[in-house]
Amino acid sequence: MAQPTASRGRYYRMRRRWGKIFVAPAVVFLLALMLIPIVSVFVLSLTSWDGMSTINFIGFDNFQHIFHDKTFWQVIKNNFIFMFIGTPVWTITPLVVAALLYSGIKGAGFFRSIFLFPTVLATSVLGIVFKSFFGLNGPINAMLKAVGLDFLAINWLGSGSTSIPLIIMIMNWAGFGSATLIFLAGMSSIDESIYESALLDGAGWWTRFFKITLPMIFNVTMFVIILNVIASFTSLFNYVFTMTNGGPGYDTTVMEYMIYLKAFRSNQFGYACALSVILFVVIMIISAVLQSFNKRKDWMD
Amino acid sequence: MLKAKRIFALAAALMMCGTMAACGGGANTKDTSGSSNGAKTKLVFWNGSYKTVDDNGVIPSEDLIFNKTIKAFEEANNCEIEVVDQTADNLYTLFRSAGVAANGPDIAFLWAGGYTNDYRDFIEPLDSYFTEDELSGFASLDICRADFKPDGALLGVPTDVTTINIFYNKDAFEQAGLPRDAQFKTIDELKDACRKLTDAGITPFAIIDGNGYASAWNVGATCATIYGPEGIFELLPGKSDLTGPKFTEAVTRWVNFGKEISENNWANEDWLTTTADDVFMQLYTGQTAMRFGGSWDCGNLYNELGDNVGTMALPSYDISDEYSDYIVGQIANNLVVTNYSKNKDLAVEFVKACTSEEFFLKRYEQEGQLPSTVNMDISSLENLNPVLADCYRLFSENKNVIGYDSITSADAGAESYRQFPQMISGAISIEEGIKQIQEKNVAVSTADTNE
Repeated sequence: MAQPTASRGRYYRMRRRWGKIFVAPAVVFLLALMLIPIVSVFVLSLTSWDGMSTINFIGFDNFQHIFHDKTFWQVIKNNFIFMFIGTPVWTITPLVVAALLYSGIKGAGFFRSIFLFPTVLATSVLGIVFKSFFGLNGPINAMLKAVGLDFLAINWLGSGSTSIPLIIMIMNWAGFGSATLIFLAGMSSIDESIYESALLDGAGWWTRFFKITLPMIFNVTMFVIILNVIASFTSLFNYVFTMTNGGPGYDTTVMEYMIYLKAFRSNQFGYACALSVILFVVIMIISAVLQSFNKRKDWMD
Repeated sequence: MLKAKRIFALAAALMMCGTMAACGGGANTKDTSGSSNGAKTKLVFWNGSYKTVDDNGVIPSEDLIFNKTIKAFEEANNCEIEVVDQTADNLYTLFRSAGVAANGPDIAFLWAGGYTNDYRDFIEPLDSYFTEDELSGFASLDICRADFKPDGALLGVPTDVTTINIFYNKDAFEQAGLPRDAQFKTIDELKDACRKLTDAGITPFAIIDGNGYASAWNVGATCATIYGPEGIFELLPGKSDLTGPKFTEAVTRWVNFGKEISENNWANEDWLTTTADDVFMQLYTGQTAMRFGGSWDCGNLYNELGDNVGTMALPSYDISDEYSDYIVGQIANNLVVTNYSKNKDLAVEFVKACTSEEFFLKRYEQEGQLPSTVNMDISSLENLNPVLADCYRLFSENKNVIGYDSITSADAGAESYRQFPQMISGAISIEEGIKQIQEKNVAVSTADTNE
């Protein structure tokens, strides 16, 4: 009986050794392309590096300058506007659509495919297309005028108060399909017998939605909310870049776009890295706060 | 079976390592010498403007002056020139990366002024390669020198120049009772023309200023008349404060005129926020009479309007200004040789071939780019765009001043593009806007010490 045990031990040791060998390239790959750049960003945020010449350490001067810069506060405010308006829109729309599709409306499969279609389009392409749609003399305004709604035919991209909601709506149109799928996956895991019992008790659609569906997919909803919060800080660049260039003034400039401007237009890499660190910290804090609301520990599974 | 699996897995791991190694090396510009083993010397040229194919299909590729020059140079010097076309968006990021790695082009086409200065760590000073006589034909060469100083190192050799102009539809002018060959010398004449055009039912201007460029051209024009060709260098980072009276005066003049444009509906309603160039369609149809632009617009305008397009310099706001008849005219681009090139001498020779008088004339004819040397005889050229000829005449008067945004830091220039339209719309005061621009007018390398 001793022989098989020794053999099994040798087998597992060998497996572990080979496992490490096979994993090694991936680990090296991750270290080289992810961990080192991330650590570099933190280090470079303490420098005045211009991307070319020697690196001079300047302590926390970049952060000090950023926090004294009025532009930074306007930019971070814009991000929070996107978060507070965008997150509910980007969460509620797919939730409602998923609930409708799950309730078995006619042509649910067709709609599921159609709703997913915009997600395959490049966001920069969407930005350019919608920019021309919503131009002062664009087709949307022409349509509004044609139906007598002249007062709505405004310069949509002419101020932050209209262009930010517009970008939020476009992002919603472009991305709600994938969030709908996530919600549908969550809904499909709910035991059918619960709905059957509720039906027997005479519960209507709204009651079932609020009393069964919503609580049962709470974890999924939290997951989508966190994704949307992160998106409001990290997925706006293409839309802002193609539609408004962050303007007028800094009305629609967001952190990602400011980091790009500082690094690649002004050659202030150290400053841009400091902005990136701040963005990282902000997202981390918000995500941690949101996670703390989530009492259940198993939702990630 | 298990052994075969192991061998297969090991091979897969090795392939992955190999792929990573391959990704790290083998850049197409690595070997720029090539002559050590008897092969032809290779020069890598990063092209940002020269035509290698005629978009209209009229001129065969082999007849394009850049291609012809390459061919002749390769034959004369037993070398090979690899042309890599780069878009403006990518060029500077790639040039920086290549410079840090000391593994990039031998010659590159860069915007003159601040951009070239920003990347001078990777650029070979060219003074020792050129005689005074060879450089004497270039106007306003200081923009190609380190820190724009007359005694600064020569960083690049000019390839073309630009002027800032007003372009107009002659038919629209005639319809409003204005002369077809109008040349407004003062802002009052221009405003008077705007009133006449409005009375005739024609919108005076088609403007896109969502990117702030039209504002920048106009502020540049007023700066030119206030500062003059030498004084403009006061705007260099760390020199005079932009919140001072001169720059404030230049900005105020344009902002006030901009406000008049808005209040009197002298331009398209969304001119301060739009970046869509479809507004220029109305200029082609005569519904709008004028636009701001530069010599780079001549080709398109002549294609659309033919002999019906006219041009003039931006009028002066105050003829008592010391430099009231000066215009914004400057070297736009230059060719640089990298300091890590293994074939600097040969690279410089090619730069000389691309900046010869014959090259300039042919390129002017084929590509519509103004030569960077003044007073060349262009009368012999065929199919010459007359609007472009007018621009060259303006430039050859040698009353040129560099645009302010080529002097200030890139950050300050970008900030001004944002703030000028905001000042005109009233979203921010002139003083506050200039203060924000001044805060950005800091040399990048000294940011930490000045802030």
